Amino acid sequence: MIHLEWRNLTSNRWLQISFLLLAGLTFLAILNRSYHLESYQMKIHDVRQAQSNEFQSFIADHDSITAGVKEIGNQRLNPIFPFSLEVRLVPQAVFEPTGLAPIAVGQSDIHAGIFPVRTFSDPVNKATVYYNPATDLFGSFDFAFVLVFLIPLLVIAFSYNILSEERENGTLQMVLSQPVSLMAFLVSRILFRFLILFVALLSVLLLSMLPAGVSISANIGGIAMLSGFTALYLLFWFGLSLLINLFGRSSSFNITVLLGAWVFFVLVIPTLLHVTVEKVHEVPSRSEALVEMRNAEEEAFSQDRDEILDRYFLEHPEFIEAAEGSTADEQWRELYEFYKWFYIVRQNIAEAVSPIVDDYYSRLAGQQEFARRISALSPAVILKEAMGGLAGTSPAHYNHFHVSAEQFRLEWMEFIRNKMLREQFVALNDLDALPQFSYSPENVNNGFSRAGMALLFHLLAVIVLIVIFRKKAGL
Amino acid sequence: MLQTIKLTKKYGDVIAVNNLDLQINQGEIYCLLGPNGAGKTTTVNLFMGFVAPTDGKVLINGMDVALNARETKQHISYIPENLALYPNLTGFENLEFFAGLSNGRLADADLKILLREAGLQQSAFDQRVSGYSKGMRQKVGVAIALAKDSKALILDEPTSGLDPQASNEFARLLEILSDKGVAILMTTHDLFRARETGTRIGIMSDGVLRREFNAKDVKHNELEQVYLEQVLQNVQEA
Amino acid sequence: MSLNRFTWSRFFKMCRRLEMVRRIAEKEWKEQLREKRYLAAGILMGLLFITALISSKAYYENEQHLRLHAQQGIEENWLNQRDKNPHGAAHYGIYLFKPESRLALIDRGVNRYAGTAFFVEGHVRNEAQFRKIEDETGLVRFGELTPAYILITLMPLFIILIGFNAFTKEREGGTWRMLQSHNVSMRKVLIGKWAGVAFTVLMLFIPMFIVMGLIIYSVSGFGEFSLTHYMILGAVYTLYYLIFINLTLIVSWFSKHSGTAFITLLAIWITATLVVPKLFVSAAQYFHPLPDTNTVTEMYREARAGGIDGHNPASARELERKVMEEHGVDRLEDLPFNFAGYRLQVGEEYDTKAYNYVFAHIRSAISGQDILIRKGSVLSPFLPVRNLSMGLAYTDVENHWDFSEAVERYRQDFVLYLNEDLMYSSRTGETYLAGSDVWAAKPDFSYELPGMGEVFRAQTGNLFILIGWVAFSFLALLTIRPTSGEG
Repeated sequence: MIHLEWRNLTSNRWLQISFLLLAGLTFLAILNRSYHLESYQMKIHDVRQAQSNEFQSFIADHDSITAGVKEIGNQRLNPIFPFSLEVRLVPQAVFEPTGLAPIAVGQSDIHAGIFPVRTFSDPVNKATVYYNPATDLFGSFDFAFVLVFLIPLLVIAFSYNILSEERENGTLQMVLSQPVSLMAFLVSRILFRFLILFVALLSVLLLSMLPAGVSISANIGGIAMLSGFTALYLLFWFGLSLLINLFGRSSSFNITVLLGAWVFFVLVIPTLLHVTVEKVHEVPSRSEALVEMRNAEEEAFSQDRDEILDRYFLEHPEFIEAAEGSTADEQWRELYEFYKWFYIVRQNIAEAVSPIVDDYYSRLAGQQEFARRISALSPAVILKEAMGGLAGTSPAHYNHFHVSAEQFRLEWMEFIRNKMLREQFVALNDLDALPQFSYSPENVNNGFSRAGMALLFHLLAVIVLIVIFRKKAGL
Repeated sequence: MLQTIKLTKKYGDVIAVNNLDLQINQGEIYCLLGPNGAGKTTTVNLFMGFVAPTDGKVLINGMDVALNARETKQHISYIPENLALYPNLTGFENLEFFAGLSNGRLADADLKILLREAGLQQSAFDQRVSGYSKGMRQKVGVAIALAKDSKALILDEPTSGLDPQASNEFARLLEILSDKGVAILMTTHDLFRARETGTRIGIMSDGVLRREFNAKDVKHNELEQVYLEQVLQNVQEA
Repeated sequence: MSLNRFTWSRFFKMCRRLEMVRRIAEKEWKEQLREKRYLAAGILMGLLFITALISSKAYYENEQHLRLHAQQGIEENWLNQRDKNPHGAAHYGIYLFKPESRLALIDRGVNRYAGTAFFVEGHVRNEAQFRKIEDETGLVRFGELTPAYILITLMPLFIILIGFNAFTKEREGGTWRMLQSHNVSMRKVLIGKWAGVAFTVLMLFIPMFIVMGLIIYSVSGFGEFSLTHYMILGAVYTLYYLIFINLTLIVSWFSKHSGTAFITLLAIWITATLVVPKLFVSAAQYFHPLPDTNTVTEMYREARAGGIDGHNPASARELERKVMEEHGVDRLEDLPFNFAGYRLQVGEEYDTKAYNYVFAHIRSAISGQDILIRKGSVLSPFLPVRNLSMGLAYTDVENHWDFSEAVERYRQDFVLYLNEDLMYSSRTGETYLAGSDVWAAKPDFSYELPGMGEVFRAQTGNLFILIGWVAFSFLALLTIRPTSGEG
């Protein structure tokens, strides 16, 4: 029978052409994304290089100034003065891509992956990117699109008439007269087709990863997980096809119902879910946060200077003690006095707006969590989100990235402020203690197990329906 | 009314119809008998213009089908083995639609009379055709033919799959039509029905018209004998 | 009277000719109406459309409210700021929020993907910030439920659904033979079927379009609602449907089975609406990459290297000398204005030049992308229609850049105002703090949407391509030889 099936499939030219087309598109998608990834990594490299150059020149200046070989006009930018750190050693927040990044664009086309962290950046104003809204609207072409949108169509074309064709050709009677149950016949047929498609798809994927420079051994865990999700997704569509065939209607009926299901799961449900998320979990408007931040800023700067300092040092007497051991002379002290006030005001502003910022990011995370929960309604959405998770380009990853950058901004500011308030000069060994930006995609909750469960649940639902309708159809 | 002159149809090397001369006059019911593959259905398709002849002519009311494809269709009605109607429309609506195609401007009441005349139960008029039996569909087919008021009727195995009673009713309908002067060409396997209904009988095999006779001239068992002889002779030749 | 009779007789003759077409169309329509799948799909479309309208309206009103609110907040921020040097105020700056046009209710276009807030400050030209998409889950990338989504993306699917088996079902059901056995030309059958499908589509589209018009009319908002404008949008959609009706009937004619017809049509649909746009976007990103933040910063730095830094008095020596020479004074204090303000303005103009250079570079990369994507219109009728729809609704990228340019012009006025205030309200060397009266008298920003004529000029290319598609699809439909039997 398998032999016959194979002959059946190999003789269907349309299926072959469409499969080759999809294989080509997969190839293109992976190569295209890995090209972008490569140029992105090049940028990371350049930025790191530039940073290291800045660092070297900072050290060189520091050396020559402490040795008294060189003098600098603007004392604020003198490497021994803490303020110079934030001007001369601008740290960069870098979004590290994961090994499987080429499989899904996710939100990587929306957010800046590399941006300078400045102490005075607005915390809710994500880094400036130069963007073309038109390209973002249509989205770029990636493997996630091929797998989530296009492959189900191939599955449907592969199996919509698995039973109805037999009936229409009149060969059903022949099958029924064989000593094998029709159900067993259909299931083995479906599974055989699934196996062929799955193996072919996986081979195409792995083959396109080779020239794209994706290490298979390094990403074996991710690839295994991707294969698992893909298998469940394909089985869901094959199962649906079998189910519709059991209704015993014509091929034409089957295909309209199956493609209707495709439209429903892939186009209609996601948009309805989006509307629901927007309604139920509205993210606070950043423009409102902005107004409040500007108010806080204006208020903090318009307070009486001495009053602010007095109040601050009353609460933080440790700095007075620390400053007493300062070696700074009169001229430096004047500069320190100004910047003490400056950084205290900045801290006050940061403290005033931190509830807004925290609220914004936690509500964003809440929205993402809610979206993930209701996404369980559509296998297409589950798979796309899971692929974003595997690629490390999901909204959750970027949320974590932005929160990490904001945390780092505060740490960086605190480091400079502490030196300033203690009236300390920058020593070379301080540079080793500089806070480092770190973003680790491992800390992002991808919800893979939940995605797997949800996909499995959909598959089981289809299987249960198949069992029920099998009884009804009397097979 | 219906006429073929040295009609030949080849599909590649296979000769489906070979040098066929037929002449069916008004009021005649001509039954074309023959085994599967004898060329009966091809003959019908040639009359309907569904396929073009390789050689020879098909004339309807003296007009060449190949030259006047559409005009000739004004004069003939067609009832195939599986009469197809639109399943989502009712019997009445199907009749209304097809009658309309023939430029007929018949009132609803007239159409209903035709359906009744064709023997369709009143209760079935407004039911969708998807629920009809084959016999019921055939009756709508006859009603369509009646509405068209055509001078010739061509039927391709119309009684196969009908139970004896339905088949009998159908035969009576054909008689009514032939009484009105319609020339009828019917292909069939059913020797009994052919002898009962037909006025003339032709036996065809391998695309060749082997014998022709008047139905009244043969008894049933004679017909069977002749039929088998013709067919067997043919097999032996092969 | 005689003339009257003559025209009537001609009219009747024509009617008789059309009679057959009408009968076929009517039969087609009756069949569609009775098919539960089609009815269900039609009702689903209607419900989705209503959902889209309601959610779009809610979104629009909420956005409008938020932006108005934020703009007011920003104005208050500005007016209530403490007394300070005008240049300090230029650094504090203001924000301008882009209003949504009323027609965004139909097609939100790139609004979710483009920034909504423009930071207007001294020295720096900023790209629009606060893109809605940054605060979104991945769901929106599947598509946004707006009336345009229903009308442009889903409606063709409905057309395919009701038309894919127009001919295949006749063949599969055997009624094709019945039709052929009658004296009816196949061209009339074709036209009848065309009319049957078109009628159903219009029966769904027209009520949707009217309801949508009424809702837009009832919404108060930015931009005029002109009936002609709206009708043209409707005509664009209708032309788009004609293309899909034609394609559907062509495929149905040439397919042996309903199943293959449907799959073929769906493949055409997905290619047009999803695959081609995405492939062309990828190509655009490949051939015209946009510079990232660090590159732009570097480019800006290079562009203004050797220029006058508003903050660095050392490099302004020459300027001082020149100005003093012009005014015949020996000391900056003797100038009739505050030199600091003058120097800032000179620096600002230099900065602006540098930014113009940088932005021209960015915009040319972007327009390179847009031009390439527009080339996809040859392969996809979806693209010109989507572009037209966005263009007519003032939600396309062109409108975004238009607004962005208006903001930049305003920014220059805004900074000039503050620098001149510093120049003329004080003398060089004085400590000058501007107060609320200065803040209150800042220039006003106003933006008007481009007129219809301008929009059409911008859209002629898309309009031509759309008409080309319509013509092409009709020609392809005509290639069907109506005399050919089984097809």
